[in-house]
Amino acid sequence: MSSPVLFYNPREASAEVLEAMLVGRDEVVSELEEDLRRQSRSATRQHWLIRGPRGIGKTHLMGILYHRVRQNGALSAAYLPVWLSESEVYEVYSVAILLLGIARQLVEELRNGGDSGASAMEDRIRELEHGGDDPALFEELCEVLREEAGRRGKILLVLMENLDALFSGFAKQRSGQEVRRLRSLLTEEKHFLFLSTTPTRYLAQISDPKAPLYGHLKERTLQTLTEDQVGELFRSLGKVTGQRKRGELLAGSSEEGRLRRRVVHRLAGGNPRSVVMAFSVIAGVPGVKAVVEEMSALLDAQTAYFEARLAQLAPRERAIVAAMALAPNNLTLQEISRLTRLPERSLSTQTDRLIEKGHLAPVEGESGKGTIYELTDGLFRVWYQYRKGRRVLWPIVHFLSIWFSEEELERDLSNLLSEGIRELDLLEGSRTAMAVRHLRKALEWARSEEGKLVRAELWKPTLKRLPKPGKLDIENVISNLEKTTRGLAAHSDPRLAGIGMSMEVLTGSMLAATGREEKAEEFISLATARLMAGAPLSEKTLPQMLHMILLSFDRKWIQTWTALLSIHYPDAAETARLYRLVVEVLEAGDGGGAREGRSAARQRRALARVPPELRRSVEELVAQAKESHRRSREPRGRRAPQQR
Amino acid sequence: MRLRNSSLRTGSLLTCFEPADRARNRSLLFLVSGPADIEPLTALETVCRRSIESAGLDVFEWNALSDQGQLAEVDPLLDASRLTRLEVVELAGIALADLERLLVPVLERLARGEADLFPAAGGAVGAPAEGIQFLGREAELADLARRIEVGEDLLLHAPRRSGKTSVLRQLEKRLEGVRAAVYLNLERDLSPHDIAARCWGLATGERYRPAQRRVEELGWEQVLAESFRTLASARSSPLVLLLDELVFFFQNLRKGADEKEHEEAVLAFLRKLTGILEDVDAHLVVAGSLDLPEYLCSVGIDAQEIPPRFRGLQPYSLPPLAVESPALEMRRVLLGTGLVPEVGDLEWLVETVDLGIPYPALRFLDQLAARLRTVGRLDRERMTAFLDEFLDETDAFDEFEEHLARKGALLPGARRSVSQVLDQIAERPADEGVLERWVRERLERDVPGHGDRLLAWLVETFPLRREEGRIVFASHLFQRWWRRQLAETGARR
Repeated sequence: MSSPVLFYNPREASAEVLEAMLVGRDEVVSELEEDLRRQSRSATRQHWLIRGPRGIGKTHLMGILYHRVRQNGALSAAYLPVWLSESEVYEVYSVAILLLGIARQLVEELRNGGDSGASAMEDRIRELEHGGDDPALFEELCEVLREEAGRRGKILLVLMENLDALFSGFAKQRSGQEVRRLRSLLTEEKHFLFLSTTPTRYLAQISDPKAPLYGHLKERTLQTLTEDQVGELFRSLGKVTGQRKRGELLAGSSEEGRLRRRVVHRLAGGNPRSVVMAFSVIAGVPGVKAVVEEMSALLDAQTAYFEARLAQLAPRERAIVAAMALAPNNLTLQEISRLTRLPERSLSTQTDRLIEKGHLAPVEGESGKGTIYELTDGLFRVWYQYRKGRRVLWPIVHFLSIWFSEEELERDLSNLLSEGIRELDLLEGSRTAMAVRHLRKALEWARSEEGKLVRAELWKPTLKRLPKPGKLDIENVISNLEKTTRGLAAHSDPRLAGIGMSMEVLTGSMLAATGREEKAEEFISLATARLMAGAPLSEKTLPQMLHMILLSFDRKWIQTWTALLSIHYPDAAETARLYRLVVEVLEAGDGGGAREGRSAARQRRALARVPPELRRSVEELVAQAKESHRRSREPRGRRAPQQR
Repeated sequence: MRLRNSSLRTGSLLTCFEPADRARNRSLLFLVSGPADIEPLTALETVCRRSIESAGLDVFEWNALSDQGQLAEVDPLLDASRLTRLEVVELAGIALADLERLLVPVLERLARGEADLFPAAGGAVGAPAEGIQFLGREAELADLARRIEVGEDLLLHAPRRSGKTSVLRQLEKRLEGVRAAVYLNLERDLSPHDIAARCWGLATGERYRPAQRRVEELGWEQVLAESFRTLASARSSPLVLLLDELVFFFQNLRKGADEKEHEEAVLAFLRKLTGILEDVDAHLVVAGSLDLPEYLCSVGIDAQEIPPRFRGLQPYSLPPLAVESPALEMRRVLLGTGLVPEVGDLEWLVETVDLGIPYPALRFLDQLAARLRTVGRLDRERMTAFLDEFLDETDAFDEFEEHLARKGALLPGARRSVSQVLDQIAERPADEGVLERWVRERLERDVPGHGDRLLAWLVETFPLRREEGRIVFASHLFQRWWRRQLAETGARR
């Protein structure tokens, strides 16, 4: 029987469901498990921090560990797991209050486990009379928890989410004291082992070398899923929801399966929660309605967290964050100043503070004028727009417009509209209205030039497997190709100009790939001359030509081509834009000095500046160009055979 | 470099059974992957057998294990959760004498009931290192103990994350039997009342609330004094107070007080503590991330006002970690981390990463292990790239830049001069360094009248050591980092 469950809440899911849906996390789970085993017999306590954006699976990971510790004989003999609820941390304003939350949750855990000491512990907690800021409450709770853990000969394994929110909860004037108190807890109290998570990339309290907690936590970052893992997750989802057929849609090894997997992977950005959403959306209208509703619920559930974080900000800082959340792109200081009407000269101080607090990150440049900033939490932008009455959830719109054809979208929209005319109850009517709104936007975007381009790029078929090369005489092939292309070049028939240009690019690429750079340059020059002369361009062959030029020739050629395309071929503006962005990202990654290690970071920042809908395509092209460049620098004899 | 393959089926199992209860046991499993492992396995078995015999440890048993999945067939009482798996290849090619140095302490640990046998790179990334995680420092601990023994009060200082707290905790253990060491971390305390209540709990075992009431009734001064008297009288040996994060406490004390009040509060605390120390005839070791004399000066306390016990604290600068056998120590860490070096990897690590400044080195190895979990294997070229990526991203050395900036603010010209000296040392091949005489002259020329003092400060502050009239880097990792900084900022300087 199929289950209507679309999203899952790891806190409410059973251990079996969590295990069934665990994909791509084997390494980190086994590392954590091994470490828990090691620490169970070690004198040193090493606390952990798991990083990763929202939806990447941090809560899932916590759930897996919580259940495994409870179910495994050796681990349950060594640990008392206490999994704090996500909202717990929003109410914390001092470390003593955090301990109070841990103590209360421990009572629950003990009670659920039939431990006879639960009531006595509860009474003891109730008797504590000091205020939350009083060091005495902290000391007494340390004592209570130490004794309870000691009595059972176990370590309290505290699973806590949103470490960033914990730090934000400390009053500014007491923050230093509280962080130091937390440090003393981590370093001195052997009965505690903290395993925490944060969605933020930078947390000054632990990342700044001057901060008391600097370097105290062992960190791991959860990575996005690979294409194959997306397929695996689809298969798991199919099993868990009783929709095996749909699950197999992406998990299979057929050409179609691989192509669909790639599309979902790119659209979801490898984010597991987005993959789960995609699984539902693929069901069509019922899925769209349900996903819109579920995503709204998800955003509502984040309200406490985001409100709490916003409340910590000064009004001007809040204005900056709001402007960035409502803007379609990442912004420079000048743009922020224009949108917020805050004086530009004071903005860098405020943005620095926001970076420190983990709200913003520079995506290009170190800081100051010219730097482009982004919000560190992608979901915050969606939440804020949603909260501000923009009832359109863009991630869903994009997915719909790419996954379904225009015809399918039109058909679904028309069905929904006719459904809307019928008498429906209020709730169902509202769901339909939301789905209609999203389908309408999806259709609009699918019809736009940009939408078409992105869709075409994403659905470009993967290369079919070719038979092994056998005894292909490459020299002969190139020689014939050269002859044919030169023949075409000599021909002045304007009808052949487009084909001639494609042949010249192809021949040049072949020559470059076989190390004949000089001759290759000759052919690309010929093709460029044709472009300048306004040779006709085919919509289909242009992206292929640009792709070959990117992979085979010096970057200056792609720059020339995109410039010429922008001037002479308005219809190709979108394609030119895509490749211009690729070049920009590649340039950002150039060594540019002795400190080459920074280039990868610069490139990441440049990539972050690319509009989200083009980011995947740009990223892939950049990777291909870099790989091609790397291969071209290898000594010829050592090059590995090209993978197909 | 790759990760250990703990799933190999076959191996040789060495188990330590407790005579009174065989269910309490710890094992070492040497896993083999092919015929090439037989010779090294024989060598390490020989070393173990010899050591076990000579130490008279008849609690060990050997068993051949054809399938580690069938552990219970060897002995149903075998405790799988206390089984350490190693690949024989990890111990191949080591000279017998080194193998002995590596394995004998392991056997001793097993015999003592410890299951943690090697330090792991990620075992104490930020937390104070204890037990097996504590690396080296034998010479420093012996030196500290000796100086306490001759009656010195000490001020232990070193950059952040260089292991001061770990050293204090080890010192506490080291002094057991000769001195009654009391370790007190003050960073959680907001007032002397809090300290007094905690000390009373420490001295009497009473819970915090009654201790706090006592402080409310009698005042912190009296309770603190009584606490130390109780601690001293309960122990037959003289007391040593190991005080961690004293400056943090003073900073906490400052909240809400004006400058004068704060100054008085700090002095009152120091005076009282001095009185107590003298009363119970205790010695004192102060440590912390922040420099005590610098802090006292910064809040306007004149040196003459500081009570003599605190004014006379003898500075003890924690030098970079100098292990007797770097390759062996690195191998221990690799064994503890599950990293299996391939040909030349160990030498590369010793020459490039070393453990001179343990925190960043261990952090790198930990991250390397995490990367290997994803990619399976890294050749030298990729490891080098990964190391450079790590060095570019790490903030672990930023404090050295801060020291330079502070020195430069106090002494014009010092920053530039010291930086240039470090540049010169960094540009030389590892372990070659530059002549000490040249450094002194250079510093004296740039900052007249300060050459000697700057030289002493330089060697104390940076991971450098003096070696036969030369100044060399004591950490290859730092040298590599400095070189990369130099490459980036050289032109600017």
